[in-house]
Amino acid sequence: MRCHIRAVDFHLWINDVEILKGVEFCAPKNSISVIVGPSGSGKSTFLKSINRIVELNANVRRSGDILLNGGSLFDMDPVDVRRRVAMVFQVPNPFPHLTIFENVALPAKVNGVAKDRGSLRELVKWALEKAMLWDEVKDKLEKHPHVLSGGQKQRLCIARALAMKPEVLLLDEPTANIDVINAKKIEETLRELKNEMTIVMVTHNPNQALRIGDYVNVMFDGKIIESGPVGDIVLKTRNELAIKLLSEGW
Amino acid sequence: MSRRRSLKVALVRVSLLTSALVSLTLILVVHIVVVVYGLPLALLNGLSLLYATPPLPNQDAPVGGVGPSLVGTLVSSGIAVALATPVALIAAFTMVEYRGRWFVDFLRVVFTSLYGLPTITISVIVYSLLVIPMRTQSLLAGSLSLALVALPVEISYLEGVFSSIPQTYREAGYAIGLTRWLVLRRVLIGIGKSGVASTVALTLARVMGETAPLLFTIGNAINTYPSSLYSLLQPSSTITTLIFTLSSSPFPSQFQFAWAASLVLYVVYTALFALSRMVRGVEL
Repeated sequence: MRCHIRAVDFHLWINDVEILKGVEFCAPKNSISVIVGPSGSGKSTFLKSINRIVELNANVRRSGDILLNGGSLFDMDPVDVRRRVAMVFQVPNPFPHLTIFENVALPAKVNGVAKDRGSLRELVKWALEKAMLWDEVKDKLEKHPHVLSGGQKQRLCIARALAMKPEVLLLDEPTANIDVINAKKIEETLRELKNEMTIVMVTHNPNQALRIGDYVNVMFDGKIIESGPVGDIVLKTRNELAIKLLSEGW
Repeated sequence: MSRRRSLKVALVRVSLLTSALVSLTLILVVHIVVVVYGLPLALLNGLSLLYATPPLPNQDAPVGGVGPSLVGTLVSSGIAVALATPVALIAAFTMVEYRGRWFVDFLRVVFTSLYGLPTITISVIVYSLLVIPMRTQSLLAGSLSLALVALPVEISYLEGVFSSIPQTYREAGYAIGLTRWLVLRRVLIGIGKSGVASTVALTLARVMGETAPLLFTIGNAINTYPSSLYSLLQPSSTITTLIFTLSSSPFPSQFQFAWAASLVLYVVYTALFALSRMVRGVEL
């Protein structure tokens, strides 16, 4: 199996506390790989390691490697990594000082994805449509995001990430703080998007992991304790802890 | 609530109210005194107060204006804030961005010591480094002195502004491929624009009110307007140094005129303060 993102014996320490303890991970191209596990297991930290946001913290140390298309992330410029590997956070965080249009346009402008005003407008429309938000905001593109609901803000963040045309999209519990209807829209969006990019999503919810994931990775205490295609995980796994975590939740 | 506890609460309330009233009274007294002494002179001089030169020692009446010193004040404070603000923005961003790193602690010690340095010392330092080599006091030397006063003040305010912006917006900035410079420019300054504008206006007001940093550096050209770029290299004055000069004058008309200069400074300060409150914040 060819991995788009691959972690090899990846360890990470923050302030000398070992958070990730030898993560082995593979996200195949054009698939949804879900990382599922209890709070404090290191899911979000691992996700933030993939686009090197974790390095913004003081006193971060690492060993092992994470590969993007076979090349080490740590040999690349972190800004280039983040331009190729976009991320959506648990709490929706559209920029409050920019309009809805500007929120989506900013990454496109900065990353040189859109060359002129016309192509920028097209790109913003495309990203908002992909995030299933266009119909709801097309008449208020010049308004600021505080007029949107929590779920709409989260979809705006997905559109903002898509406007960079990334290879990989990371999502950290994107439906954790929003209502069921918006959560379903986001799941639909992700299913459609996997044809165009590789998606790695962290979730707390085992049901969501099994519903949306092509590959499921169970994380516990800084390690991936079980991983594989969703069917294999459901039917074949013998790892008792993984079975317990997936069936009973946490 | 027990009787003893009620008594304690009442005591705290009374002492808080008394402190607030005393502070408010003192502030009001300052405002009233400046207006009471300054307003008759402002009415006597009319608009010429803003452009004429100060009264000469042999004049009987306090008739004149603060024109050259007003221009000196605006130019020197403007240059000082223009020099200090970009440095302060980058320093404050660095201190927030790299919090916990050793060099941030070091920077904080440097800026805190600069903040605590008596401003007259800054005047002496700039005198030694700039005035002596140039062989003249100048508007430029005065502006640099004020910039050194402005720098730690702005850093301190801006660090507060940037720290109050939730971390998640910085992370969002990095996550869409922004460089550190763009995160500062497009995210932090954008979200914190009301705080940044207040900082600039308050710092401008603060340096306009400084006298000590200018004593050895700007000179005392109270009758000459800065008229060209070359004026930057020539002696000038500010309203504060004018007040200092006039208030030490043995001539009654000049001494009295110091109140008119104080009133002008007071109005400029109040206008800047009001302006700083008018910039609207961003709804998070």
